[in-house]
Amino acid sequence: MENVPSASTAETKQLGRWVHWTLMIGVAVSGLLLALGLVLLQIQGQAAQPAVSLRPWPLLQNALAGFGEAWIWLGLLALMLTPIVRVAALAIGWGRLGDYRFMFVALVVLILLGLSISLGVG
Amino acid sequence: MDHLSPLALLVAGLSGLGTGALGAILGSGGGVFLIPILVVGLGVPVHFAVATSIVSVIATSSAVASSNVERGTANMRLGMTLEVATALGAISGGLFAGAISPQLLEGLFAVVLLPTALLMWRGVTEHIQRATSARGSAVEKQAIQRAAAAAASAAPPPELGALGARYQDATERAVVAYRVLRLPAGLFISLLAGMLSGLLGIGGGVFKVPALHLACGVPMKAAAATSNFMIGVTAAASAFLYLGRGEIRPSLTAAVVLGILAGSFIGTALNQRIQSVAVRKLFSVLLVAVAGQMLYRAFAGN
Repeated sequence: MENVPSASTAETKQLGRWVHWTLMIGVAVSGLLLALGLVLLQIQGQAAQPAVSLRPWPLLQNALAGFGEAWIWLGLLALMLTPIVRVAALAIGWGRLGDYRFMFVALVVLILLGLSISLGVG
Repeated sequence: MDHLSPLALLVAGLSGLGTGALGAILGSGGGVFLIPILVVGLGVPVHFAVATSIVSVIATSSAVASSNVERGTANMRLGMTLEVATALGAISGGLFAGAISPQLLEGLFAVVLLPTALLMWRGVTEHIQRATSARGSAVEKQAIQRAAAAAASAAPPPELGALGARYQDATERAVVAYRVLRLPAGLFISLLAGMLSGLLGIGGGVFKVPALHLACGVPMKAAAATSNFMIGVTAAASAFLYLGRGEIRPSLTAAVVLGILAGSFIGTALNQRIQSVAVRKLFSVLLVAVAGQMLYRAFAGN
């Protein structure tokens, strides 16, 4: 976008690129994890999978042990966290550009997303 | 519980492919098509289908929004502002999912959607926009002229306001500039769209795009891009509630998400070659389809 009163066009375009790459990396990483997990799960079978745990350390241990379902969960969590990282990137970016009004708006959205995580899995 | 045969995974992936492409073209998450396919076609229980849909719309939004942000069609400032309302709505919708009858809400929205779809199909909405935002049209013309000068001086035209924007429309080969009108109306409709998203597992783009276009005067293409930009956060706000309730089936969701990612890239490529009129008419059909689905569910009590 080129409509930022408090920042130059180049800086705003740079912020757009940040967001672009944040989303692209999030989608690519989650896609790779999901594909790997699906392949492993088909090879291993559902019966071979350990009990599901979404706590970070047990989930990582199951993934490192090669269990497909754990890789799928990592992919799903990476995907669900991608929009949150995008909001955080914009909050930081707007803050760096001195655009504090929209930095504050992004922080409010981040607080709401934190509330959702807390209510859901906290 | 979660085991699916390779054929079922393939069908789930193809379902995701189709809905992802459609969602990218129409500016919606595609959940309105995905949920019936999963429930009717694959026999997935509806609450699991809703959870799958809400995660898959994050994928659609992230994939499509990354391209739209790079092209400049997604209005990040407007999107972030409206995300406050959609996130709040999605959380409250997700929390009250068990207490509020979705049938009643679906029926009410279907009644609202049908005349909206008819108006959009006939192009009346564009006339309404021109008639009601004459000030905006004049500003738009001036802003386009100033856009060329601003490109050299890096000084954006002040008439666009804090939330207005301009972008290069590849299909119309012009710089399109707009001022955002009636923000409170956009916030209110975004709140309702977020609540519906939390309740039904849809992205809510079908409500946000017409709202941004009709109420806020945002051009259709920018409205669709900004809606897609917002949908990821809206869906994420309620996805963690579904995750906490254990309603996400990992392998089913993974297959659908991978299909949707592929479909989103196909749809994004097609979207650049489609005129705004075609987008509007396609969106009208989508609204009728959603209304029919909602009416059926409301009357069937399913």
